[in-house]
Amino acid sequence: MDEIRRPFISREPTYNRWVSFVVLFLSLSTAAYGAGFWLFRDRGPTRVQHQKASSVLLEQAKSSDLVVLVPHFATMAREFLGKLKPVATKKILNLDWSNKENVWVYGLFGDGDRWKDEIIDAGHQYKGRIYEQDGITIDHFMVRNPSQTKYSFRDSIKSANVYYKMNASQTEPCDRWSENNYQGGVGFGRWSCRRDAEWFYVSPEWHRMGDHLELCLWAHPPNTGQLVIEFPNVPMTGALIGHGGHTLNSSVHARAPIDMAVSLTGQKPQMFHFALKDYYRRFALTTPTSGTATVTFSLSTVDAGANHFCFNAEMRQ
Amino acid sequence: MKFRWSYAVALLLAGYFTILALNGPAIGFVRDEGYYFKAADQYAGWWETLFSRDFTKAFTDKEIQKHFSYNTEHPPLVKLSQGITHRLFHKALGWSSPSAGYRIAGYLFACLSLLATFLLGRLLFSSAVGFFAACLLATIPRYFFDAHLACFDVPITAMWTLSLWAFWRSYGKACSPLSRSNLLAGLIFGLAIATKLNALFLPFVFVFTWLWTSSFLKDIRMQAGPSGGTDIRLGTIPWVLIVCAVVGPLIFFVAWPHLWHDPIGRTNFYLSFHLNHEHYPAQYFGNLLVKPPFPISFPFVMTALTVPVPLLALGTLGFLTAAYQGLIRREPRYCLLFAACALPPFVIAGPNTPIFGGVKHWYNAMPLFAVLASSILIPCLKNILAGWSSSVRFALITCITVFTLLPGVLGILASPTTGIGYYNSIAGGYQGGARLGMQRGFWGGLVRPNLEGLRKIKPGSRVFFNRLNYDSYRMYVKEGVLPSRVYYANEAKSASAAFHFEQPEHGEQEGAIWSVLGTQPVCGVYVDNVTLGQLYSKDPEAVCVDEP
Repeated sequence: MDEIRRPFISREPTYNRWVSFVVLFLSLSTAAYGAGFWLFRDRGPTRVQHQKASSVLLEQAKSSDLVVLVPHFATMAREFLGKLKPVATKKILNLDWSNKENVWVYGLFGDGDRWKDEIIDAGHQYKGRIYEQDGITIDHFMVRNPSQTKYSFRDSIKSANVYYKMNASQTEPCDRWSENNYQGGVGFGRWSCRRDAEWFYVSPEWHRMGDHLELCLWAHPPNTGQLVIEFPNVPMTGALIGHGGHTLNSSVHARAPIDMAVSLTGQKPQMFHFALKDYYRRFALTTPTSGTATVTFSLSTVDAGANHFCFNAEMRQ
Repeated sequence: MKFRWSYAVALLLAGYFTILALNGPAIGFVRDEGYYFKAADQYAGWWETLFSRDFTKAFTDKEIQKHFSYNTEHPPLVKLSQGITHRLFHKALGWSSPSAGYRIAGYLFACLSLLATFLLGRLLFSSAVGFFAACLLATIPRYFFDAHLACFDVPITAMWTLSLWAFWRSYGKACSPLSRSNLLAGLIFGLAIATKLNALFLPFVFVFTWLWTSSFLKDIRMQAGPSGGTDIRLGTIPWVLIVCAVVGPLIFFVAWPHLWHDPIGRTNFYLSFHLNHEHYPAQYFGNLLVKPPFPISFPFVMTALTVPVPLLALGTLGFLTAAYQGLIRREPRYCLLFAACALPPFVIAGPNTPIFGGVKHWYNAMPLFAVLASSILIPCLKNILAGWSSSVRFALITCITVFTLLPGVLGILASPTTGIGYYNSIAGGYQGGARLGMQRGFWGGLVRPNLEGLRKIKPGSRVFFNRLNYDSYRMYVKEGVLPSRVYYANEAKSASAAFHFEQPEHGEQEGAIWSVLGTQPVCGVYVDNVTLGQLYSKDPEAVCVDEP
């Protein structure tokens, strides 16, 4: 047992004086840094201060304006601005600014200042700061040459003809209309297919697209064939602009990308490919500038499992 | 008056227990707790049969399964303890609320973890090292949060550390196989494996320490036997290892009646469950991790971002020292500390190990990390202050160590009920963690502050509690936190109020909530303006009670 007994030491190690001073310095400096951080950190405004700032914004902003909260994790202001549907995302310039006249940036912790230059560099016009108090800044930007939305496919879902195209000769209508979306939201509308109606339907729903929510058309492609959504009598305005992609969960659980064919009456369809990490990417199509057409979105994939797709599109001028 | 470490330790334990007990009611029930409350209740029912006239019935499989068939994926010790404390402190004495009755077992295990840290530090170095290590452990904000819960992670930390202590005090002694210290080591190891799966990794630590630092492997040789053949000559195997190998599984078996009638099949189920554990998602630098391979860096980076900076710095230095002294110079105590500290995070770092998202799964490394940190600082302070009078030296060492604990204490004060989402000053606190794209919370407990706001909503209202499970909801109703007329909704579509948590993998629930209840929350849980959760409601009676 001797060799086992030998190591049974119970005493503190000894270090030379210089090492001891280095350790003392390390201990004191990290403690001072850590304590200083927690004592002097910027905790941000109170709820009452948010309420005050929000009331100023509510007076000036219209419901059609874009309100963004920066940084994305500080969303207490939603309690007062919620009806304006403020967006909280890491990359605010990736949002669709082009059809907004006004954009309001509600900033905390100096993030409003940090974004200001980037937004101006992106070509938008800075109109000024309407609020700066208690660590809250509200900046007003005007979008240069904003486009006008003439037709929203999402808002016109009731007029759509939805069906499941099994193959070249067989189709099955998705003709069960409900006023509620599948999430339970009243008034959004939903066309359900005759099979697997719990996921095989088309409806405006809120979904997490990357790091934020978007109100978009849920459109889950089938295992074989295509999910087809036809919108008749769509006014042609020169541009069809849309965004689409996989929901966050789908982007990590689904196994295959999605192909979307967009076609106008009498024109060859244009294909758009949405990879799994395309949370909500832009797609666009040049259209005639007058008259009306039937616009058809056809969705397909090689593997439908967990392929939660959502898109939104508008005819813009 | 002479300073006695035992008084200081008693004061630390009493203080920690008191703080946990006082702060506990403000901390919401995390998702798992609901299951354990239920299990503890069922398990405790078995004692009634055992101590009844018909006590033989307690040993039948039918009766055992009646009480122990729930939650068989975890061993019973913690749940049995919770059942006992609940019956004693809530039912018999009436001193605690029902949930606190269960959680008291957690508080006691938390105190045991501090005691075990002290004992191990004292055994390996000195009382001062052990005491400061226990203080360092107590002031890790995430550990402090988990110390309140009726869960397994803090108990296994206590039992892991206590097992190391018991092993070490026997390891160096030349004692008989059935000596008290050997049997105690076997008993504690058995109780550790009856606490949580992590303890099954302890033999690797014991055996590695023994093989690496003894001459056992060198001494293996072939020699001529008395009959003329060739024998293998082995060195000495410490009795404590043999006793642990025999007594440990025996205690595990005895402690878990569920195994009595089908030990192999049911143990197999238990182990298989963990070998094939589902992968819970976690947000890590903006990426939602849901399936392997997971980044090897995960446990190390998460430790670097969630442990108070002084502990991180000193612990890292201590760990490097242990690696050198233990692996290169083969000094056994450092080898033990190195192995016991490195193994838990390394197991989680495996690309196919479920990461669960939390740091709690390698908490059992933290006492060792704290002992290593303390074993660096305390001797250095003594060295610097060697020429000073003992009272001045004592006062200065006390001041410096208390100052070293300050970041942890301030981190706890910044997040007394939300420590599950704490990030240290390197990360930038709560804001920094969120900015880095890290997970802000888990398992539904963060809803607690907003529950008060539901007291006046219309009778019969259904509330979607999201990640809060049904058993936890029942406990809130039982304790009067929620009115009994508020009902549990399984999804947002049938609810008139709903909670959203900042858990990205449940983002679809937020979408459903917006569809049903609109885009304007009435209230939320925030730390430093970082959103951890929000309450939505159609009912104007749902209000924000606790205004930040």
